[in-house]
Amino acid sequence: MSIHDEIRQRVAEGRLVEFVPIPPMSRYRMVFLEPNVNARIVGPWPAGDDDEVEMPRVRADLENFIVKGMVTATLRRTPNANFKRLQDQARKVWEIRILDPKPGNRLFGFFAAQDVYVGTELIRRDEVDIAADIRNAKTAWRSLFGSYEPIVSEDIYDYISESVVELHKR
Amino acid sequence: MTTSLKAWSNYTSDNETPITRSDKAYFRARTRKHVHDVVLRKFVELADSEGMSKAKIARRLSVHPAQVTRWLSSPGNWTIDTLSDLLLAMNCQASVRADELMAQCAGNYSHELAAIPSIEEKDVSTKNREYSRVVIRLRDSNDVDCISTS
Repeated sequence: MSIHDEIRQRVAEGRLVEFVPIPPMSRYRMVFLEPNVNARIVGPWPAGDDDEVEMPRVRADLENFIVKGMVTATLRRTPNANFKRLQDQARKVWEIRILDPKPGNRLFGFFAAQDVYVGTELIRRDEVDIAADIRNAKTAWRSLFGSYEPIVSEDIYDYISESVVELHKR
Repeated sequence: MTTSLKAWSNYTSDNETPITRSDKAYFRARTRKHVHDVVLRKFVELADSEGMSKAKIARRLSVHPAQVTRWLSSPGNWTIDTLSDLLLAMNCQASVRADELMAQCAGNYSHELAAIPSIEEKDVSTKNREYSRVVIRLRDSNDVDCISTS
């Protein structure tokens, strides 16, 4: 079974949710989320809660990715990139960095396939415990996909096929 | 009490319901992303064709190269002045028009994994006047369109 088939199976099982943009739009890239993550982004949110303004920005970020908007990415320790691969033992784990409003949010996850991001955990930047969050992300991946490996490559285009600027190269 | 983003089709010209802070946040983020997308694409185009670089932009704007990296990395808290300065450093300027939102956003391409139709596909109505989306066009110093947006 291919990783695409595995993803379809996880969606059918309710263990992953396809993140759906609000307006009808072409979907060139895909984002799948753990159900609790999707629920937090989609809402509803308690009136007056910070998520009222933070989650719509997360949504806008993910929608931009899906419609093949330009994204910035880094395989290195480059600050401010939209997509950042985590380092050392965690080279499979990525974070989508929604920088505003401060402190921002981080969607930890993996590229299951080119242009296909699986988000496992959404954490406010000031609540990140990087070691624990990486462990949790890896555990979530193994729970979802067992022995299937996410993409690991030194070529940014293996992760995101186009409309991407790799920051450290320019 | 809870809040959530409204379906775009709920924003009609005769709707006097106050816009929620969630919707403001969402559309502001979309606008920032769109503007950033246009500028970044222009930068990439000029980098490939003319050797434009962050260092060159920094020199022209008399800022540290790290600031240009920050600007190009993410729209962050870009101001209109930031937009103007970045474009000017690339010998471009912005011109703006407003387009009907719903008339622009429909697309017919679906990734092979896309199994769920958009939640609003059944609600799309081109008769409703929605929020207009501002389309940023870039014009070069010779007043010729550099890039079209959609």
